[in-house]
This record gives sequence, structure tokens and C-alpha cells, in this order.
Amino acid sequence: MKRVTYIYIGLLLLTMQGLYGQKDILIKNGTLITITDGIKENTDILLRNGKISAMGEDLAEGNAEVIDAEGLFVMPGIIDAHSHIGIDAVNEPTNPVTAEVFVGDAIDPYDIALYRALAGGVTISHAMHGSANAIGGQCETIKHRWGEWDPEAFKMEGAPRTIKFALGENPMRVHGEGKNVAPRTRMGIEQEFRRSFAAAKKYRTDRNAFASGKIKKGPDYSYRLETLADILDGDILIHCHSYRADEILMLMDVLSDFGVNKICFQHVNEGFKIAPELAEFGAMASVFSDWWAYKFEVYYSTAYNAAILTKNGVVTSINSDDAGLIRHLYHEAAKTQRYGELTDNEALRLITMNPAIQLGIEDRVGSLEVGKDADIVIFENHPLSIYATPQTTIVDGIVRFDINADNNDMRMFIDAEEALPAFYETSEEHEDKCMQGVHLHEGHSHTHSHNHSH
Amino acid sequence: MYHLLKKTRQAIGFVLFFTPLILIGQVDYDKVPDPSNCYYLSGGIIHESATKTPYVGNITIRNGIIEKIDRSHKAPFDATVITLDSSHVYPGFIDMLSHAGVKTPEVNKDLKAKFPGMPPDELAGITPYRRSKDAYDPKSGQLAKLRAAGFTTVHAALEGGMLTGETMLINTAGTDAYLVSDTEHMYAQFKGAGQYYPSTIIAVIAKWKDLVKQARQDKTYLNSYRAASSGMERPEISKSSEALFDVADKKQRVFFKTHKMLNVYRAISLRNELDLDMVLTHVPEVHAMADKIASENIGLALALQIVDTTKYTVDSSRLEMDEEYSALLRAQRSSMNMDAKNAAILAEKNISFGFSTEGNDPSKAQEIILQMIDNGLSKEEAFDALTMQAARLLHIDKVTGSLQNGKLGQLVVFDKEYFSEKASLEYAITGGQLFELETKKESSSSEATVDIAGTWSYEIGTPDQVRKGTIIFNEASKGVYDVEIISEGGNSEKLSAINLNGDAMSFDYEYTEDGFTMEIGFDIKFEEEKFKGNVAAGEFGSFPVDGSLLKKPE
Repeated sequence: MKRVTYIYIGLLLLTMQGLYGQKDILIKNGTLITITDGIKENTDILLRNGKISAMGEDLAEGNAEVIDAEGLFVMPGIIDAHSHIGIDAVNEPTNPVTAEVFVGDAIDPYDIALYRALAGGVTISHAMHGSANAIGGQCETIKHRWGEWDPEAFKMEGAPRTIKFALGENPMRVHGEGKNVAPRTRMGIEQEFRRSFAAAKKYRTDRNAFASGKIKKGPDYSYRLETLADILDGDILIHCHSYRADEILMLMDVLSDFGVNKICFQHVNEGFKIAPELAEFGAMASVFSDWWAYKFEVYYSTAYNAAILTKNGVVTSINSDDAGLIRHLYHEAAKTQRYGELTDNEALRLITMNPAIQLGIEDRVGSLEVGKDADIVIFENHPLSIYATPQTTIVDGIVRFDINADNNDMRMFIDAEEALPAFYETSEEHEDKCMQGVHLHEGHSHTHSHNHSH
Repeated sequence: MYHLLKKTRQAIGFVLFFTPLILIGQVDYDKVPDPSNCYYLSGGIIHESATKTPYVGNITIRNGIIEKIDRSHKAPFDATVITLDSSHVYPGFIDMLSHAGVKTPEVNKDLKAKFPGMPPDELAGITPYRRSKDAYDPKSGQLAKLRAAGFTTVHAALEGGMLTGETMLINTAGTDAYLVSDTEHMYAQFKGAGQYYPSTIIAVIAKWKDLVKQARQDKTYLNSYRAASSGMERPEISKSSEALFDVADKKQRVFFKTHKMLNVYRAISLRNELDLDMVLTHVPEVHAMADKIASENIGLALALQIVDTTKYTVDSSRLEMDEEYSALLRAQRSSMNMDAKNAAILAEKNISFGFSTEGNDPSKAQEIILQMIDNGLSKEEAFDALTMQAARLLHIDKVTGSLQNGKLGQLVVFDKEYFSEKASLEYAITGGQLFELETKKESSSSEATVDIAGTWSYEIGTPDQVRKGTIIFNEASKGVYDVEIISEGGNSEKLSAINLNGDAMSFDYEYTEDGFTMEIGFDIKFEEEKFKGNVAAGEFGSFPVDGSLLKKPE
């Protein structure tokens, strides 16, 4: 019996909240990278009640806590459109369609990866279901309010619902190879979508007919079909794990047939091949800067992917899918300047405004604008410089990371019965997060041991 | 028939007095004379409840009900009198969740799922239609263990998956008259079905939402069908859905196992989203979220466990050299200190809680409770949690949880004040039966202070008759005796090398007849030419025994 216990080791952090929590913050004389309105040098920015309340020169201090940002760069908090940190369960790999499950039901606010993400300037991440199923579970857009005990406090209130889909080898391997059920092939995966949407369509028709009294008995309640019907109604944004161009085109065809048009493809390593088609459909793309070849379907890739997609008018973001990579997404964005010569603003949009659009939260975050959420990161050195270091990360006007108040041990809880924390002197093999919780049948143990697969 | 049995008994010459009871158990005949089944406890220090001042008084329990409790009433003529000398009498403790007394059925091995994502409910761990009552196991050793720890009422649940079934509220006597109340709650846990759906916590929660909404829809349809079935399709309702009607209607309380703090948050969210009546069990250290629990107004059964500080050893040679190592250990130590205050912090926030033994050893109960008291929980709060609070959360506060006229005669007697110092259980009355517990106060070899060699008579007061016989004590060496027990019928049992500890002696032996084995245990104290004590007879209970010296050895 494992007993996890908690102490207030984050006392300093809580004290910080106490100091800053209800107080205004005035960040003075920084170089503001607004994303939507250019660069503003020597400008102040005032944070009040969790919002950006003013930007300008020589703003009145009032009672605000002042952060001197002279020589520093102030930008909107970084947003990661694909991550699995801060949740206890990633994959429900028992069924190829599990639209009803919701990772927001298993948020883990004490995952130290959340704090580390803050140290990398990331204020929002898209906590996703894994890619074991053709239609995986619903995801949750979380704000990194490190220091809060209640999992509910991490949910970004008002953020649209999103759901994970997956194409290709992962669902084929888990279900076809692993359990000897469909889908075993890429063709089978297409049928999973078609069958599911067709069932949801009928369910929705019958349900509505029953509600309006046209029929006397409605369909048996199904949380799964309810969720799928919500996708058909456009109430849930699809985020689809994908690599190959042919499959991506296939899914867009399927969605067209069912009248669905909100989709963001994830990984999309072959997106560069079909960038115009994606743009025409209105599909978006969230990619790695230069990560590939971790399985057969991910060999045909290029570091120019993000730039090509951007130049073709596809709303593109760069994501981490990883607790390590999330700590330096600004470096990942900078790579698009070496591979594709994106401008500073285009590169920074990949980790701010664009992921915000993909998550449907662009009216709240993603840029420095009066009225938007006070999610801010202050950098020493330009964020696209290799010397960039986040100094302070603010979420909703509350300082959640301060490089000067960073202790060695920033855990929220400490297991009183554990001999020593796992991170001390034991190095566990990196677990494949995207396929976390998936145990394939014997003979495929290699899938457990290689470092990354997505 | 009864006479015939008596004759048979004498003819065979069964040892001692237990035989008729065994036959009652085995043979079905019309009417057994009702035993008086009345106990009178005199002179104990009575703790009626956590809020009442203790006093010296007497209690009469008849047929399992408290007939009278006050300072001065006399023993009814037919009562078995138990004289308590400065012992402490408490309401029997309540275990808010345990699997004692329940034998969970094995998973049907023939059951298979072609599609792991669509298993039959049983494989999915969804068995709300099961009832603990159907799986009651009076022989469960766990019941005796709980009884020995002072628990007289157990909320007993089936084991299994995410929804194991309906619970029962039972006494710890281990007899057929086992119910404390016929209330049945539902037991649930965040437990996945392994290779089958739902395997993870997110799917278990999704399945909960699915099941409850399905049950609500089914019930609505069933009601309209009942009202006017003409032209309507017949309802098709699964037995799982039907079994959840009361849960979905908030008429049945769900006891949800949490075991870690995050699951406490999750269970509360689930309760709120689905509008359920819920109490959380196996609750670990949750002091960090005490305010939330208080504002959510949800009851808890705290796991009866405390941080084990001995689980790891500190490498002291590293403490000086390795700053990181020592910092981690310091953090861990303060975490432990905080955890130890858990119950006290929750009590301070006026959170309703009792205790559950599930997954823990009930015999450690007092040690743990004293530790909680050392760490700030008041004695009254601890007492209340073990009795009335638990009773309220289980909806049995009208029948048990405190000592008062008309409530069930579930009580425990300790030699010392339970909430102050280490105490030994002397008696437990549960399910209308008296048990004297075998916790020996001085079981270590203390010197014999009396000479008991000789032939003694004994009389045992069982409910239907007084049983007599003789016992011969032959001193083998100083303070060590060979003992021979000879029943009235002439049968004898010989034991050797029994120690006399001070003025007390305990011995037990197994007695087998017709393949039926029973443990017989004597626990007696000598005073001059008399002895007094109790005889425990397996599951039949414990009976008072008196003896007097007939003759010294020649």
C-alpha cells in the first residue's frame, strides 16, 4: 500500500502567492514582445486581477509589486498544444474508441513536471489523452497554477473541449497486433471513424426525436455516443495524432463526409507534403521542430516542416509531447529560423498565439494585449537566443516561478514512507508518454524500451 | 426428541457441556427453550458517549438490547452477573469499512470477452447487484480479530472491481443473527479491470457517469411504461442499471474507497457532477485539503493507519557529507510530522470522520489512536470518531454508537481508559453475546502466588443449564500443573504443563466430535478456596465459570 503524504514544502511558493496573489504587479521598463502588435521597448505592463490592465510608458506604481524588467524581455506565457504532464492516466488502451474518457478527471497538480514547465516559461499546456486508440479520450487545457492543491484549479475555465484522435501505427499495434481486434490496418482505422460517426449520427437523430416526442423510446443512454455527437455538433475540437500525408488526407475526407471541420493535426511529420490541402481545409498543425525516425512511419520528415506549413498559411505550433522538451520550447521555436528563416515574430507565434488558436483560447491568451489573461514570462536575453533564460513566470497575475526563489526541492508533496525520492540516485528508464499505460503482447517488448515514440 | 438427545449425550459421554449446543446447531427440531440471554455488568466506569461524563454504574443487556443503564439498578434475577472492578465500559467501536465476514465470490473462470473493450459487467468489475448478505461468512477469522480489537459493528463490503455491490452492517459475533441494521450501502473504488474496459481511472470515472445516467434514463422510462404501457416498447434494463437506481436517485449512499489524496478530490468531483450521496473510505492523510473537505461537507472513514517511521534506515555516515541527502531526509521527516497530525487537523475543521480498518491490521487500532491523540486529536474526538460519528455516517446512530436505553447492547470493557493508555480488552458484547477476550494481562511468567493443587468442582452457566464437573490440578513442578477436566458425564480431558501466573491460569484445548472441532478456553483466577472466570466455547460465546476446592491432595 503506497501512501502519499503531503507537506508544505512549497511554503515559500505559497508565501509568494500571499505577497503577489491579490496584489497588482507592475513590470517596469521591459522590452515587450506583444506577438500581435510588435515590439515595445522600455514599456511597463500592469497586471491587475489576473488580467493585463495596461501597457505604456511610466505607468503609475500605486500599490503594485514592482518587477524591474530593464534589459529583460517580456512575452506572453508559452503554450504547449501537446503534452501529457500533470495527469495520472494517459491511455485507456482497451478499446479503439473511448471518446467518453476524459483526462481532466485525473489531473495531478503535484507533478513536478508542471513546475519545470513553468521554469521554461510555459503557462498553459494541452494535457492530452494518448494515441493508443483511433478515437482516444477528451483532453484538458490546463493552466500551470503550481501551488494549488485542487486539481480543479488547473482546468482553464471556459476553454473549449478537445479530443484526441490517432492515425497509423499506434492504434494498429495496440488493437490489431496486441488484442487481435480491429483496427489492424490503416484502412481499419478509417472504418473506426466512419462507424463511430455513423453510430453517433443515428444516436443523435433518435435522441432528438425522442426529446421532441416523435418516438416513444429513445436510444439507450451512451456517454460515448453523446460525446461523439458533440463532435458532430462542432462542440469539441479534434486533435489528431498523425504522421503520413495519405492518412491525413483520408481523415479530412471522413470529416467532410460528416460535416466536421475543426481539426488540428498533431506531429504531422508529412504535413509539408500537403500544406496547401491542410490550409484549404482550415486544418491546423502542431509539430516538432526536428524530432523523427523513432518508428517506421516517422522517417520521412524535415526540420523545415513548421516553416513550410507556416508559409502556406497553416496555423502551426511547435509542441513538446514531453516533460523534458517542454522546458525549452523557445529553443525549439528558434530552430525554425535556422531551418526556414521565419521572422522572430513568426517563430514566437509558434509557441504563443498559434497554439492558443489551436486550443480555441486565442481571445484569452497568446499575446500581450490589454484585457487578456496576465500569463507572462520574463526572459533574460531574447527568447530566441540560445542564452535565453526565463526569470519569472506569471499565471493569471500570480508569480508561479521565480528563478530567485527556486529551491532545490520544489515538490508539493513528499511521500513520508518512501526511502528517498525517485529522482534521487535512481534513473528510471524514460517511459513513452504517448503510449503510456499501453502494454503490448509479448514479442513486442522493444516498444517498451526505445526512448521515444509518439 | 430432546430427551432422546439427552440420552444419547449421556450414553456417549461427551466432554463437558458443549454437546447440546452442537446438536442444536446440527439437528432441526421444533423449539429450543429460550435462554434468558441477560447480562448484568456491575461496577464498571461507564462511558456512554464522547460527550457524557463517565460514571460508575450498572448495565443490563437483555436479548441484545440495553434494558437499563444507570448508577444503581439491581441485577435482574435471571441475569448472568459480571462484576467489573474499575474497568471501563464503552459503546462497541464501529469499523466503517472492512471485508470481514464477507466471502467474495470467485470470478467466473469461464467468462471471456471477445472484445476487451466490451467485457461483460462481471469482468469489468461492475457488480452493483451483488449483496454482501449473500456472501456472509460467519466463520471469517477477521470478525474475531475485530472483536478482539474492540469493534462490535462492521460495515462489511464485498471485494471486487469499480462497483463491488451492496454492503451490510453486522455485528462481530459471527453468528446467524448478524445484522445490526438492514441498511445496505453501495461500495465503490477507483479500480480498473486490467486488460478489460475500464482499465484506467479515467475510464472508471467515465463509466460511472455512463452508468448513473443510464440508470436515470432507465428508471424514467420504466415509470412511464408502468403508467401507460400500451404502444410502448418493453423496457430493457440490465441488472447493473437496475441495481443502481437508488444510487442514481441519491437514495443510497455510496462508500467510495480513495486511498490517496488526489482520489479524494476526484471522488468529490464525481459526487458533485452526478449529484450522489457519498462517504469516502480508506482516506489517507488529507490535511492539506482540509478546508476543501470541510466546505464540501463530505464524511470520511479515515484509514486506521499511521506513518511508519521505521520503514527506512538513515545512513548516518552520509548525513554530514551529502547535503542533498540530508535535506531530503529532513523534508521527509517534516512530512511525517505533518501526517501524524492529520486526524487532529480534520477534527479542528469540524469534518465528520470515523475509521475503517480495510487493508490494515485491526489489532493495531489502539496504538494508532493513541498516536493520533498524542498528535493533537482530543480524546473525545477520537472516542466520537470510533462510535457516534461512524454510526451517523453509516445511518445506524439510532441503534448503536452510544450506550443508552433501547440501543443495541454492543459494548466493550477495557481494563484501563482506552483513550489514555494502553488498555486490554476484557469483555465484548456484540450480537447479544458475551465474549471474554483472551488478552492476558500478564501472560509472561509471573510467579505463582497460590497453591491450587487438589480436586475442585466447577459450574459453568450456559444459557440453558448449569453444567458441572470436577477439575484436578496436580503440581508437576513449582507453579506448573497437570490438569484433568472431568465432566459430569464422566468424560475427561488431560492437559499437562499449564503455568499458574500469579493467581491466574489459562488453558485451552481442542475438542472434536463428529468431525466438529471447537476451541475450549478456560480463563480463571483463584482466591483462597474458590476460582472464578470464563470459558470460551468456540463460536458459541463465552460463559462464566465458578469453582471451589473439594479436597487437597493427600
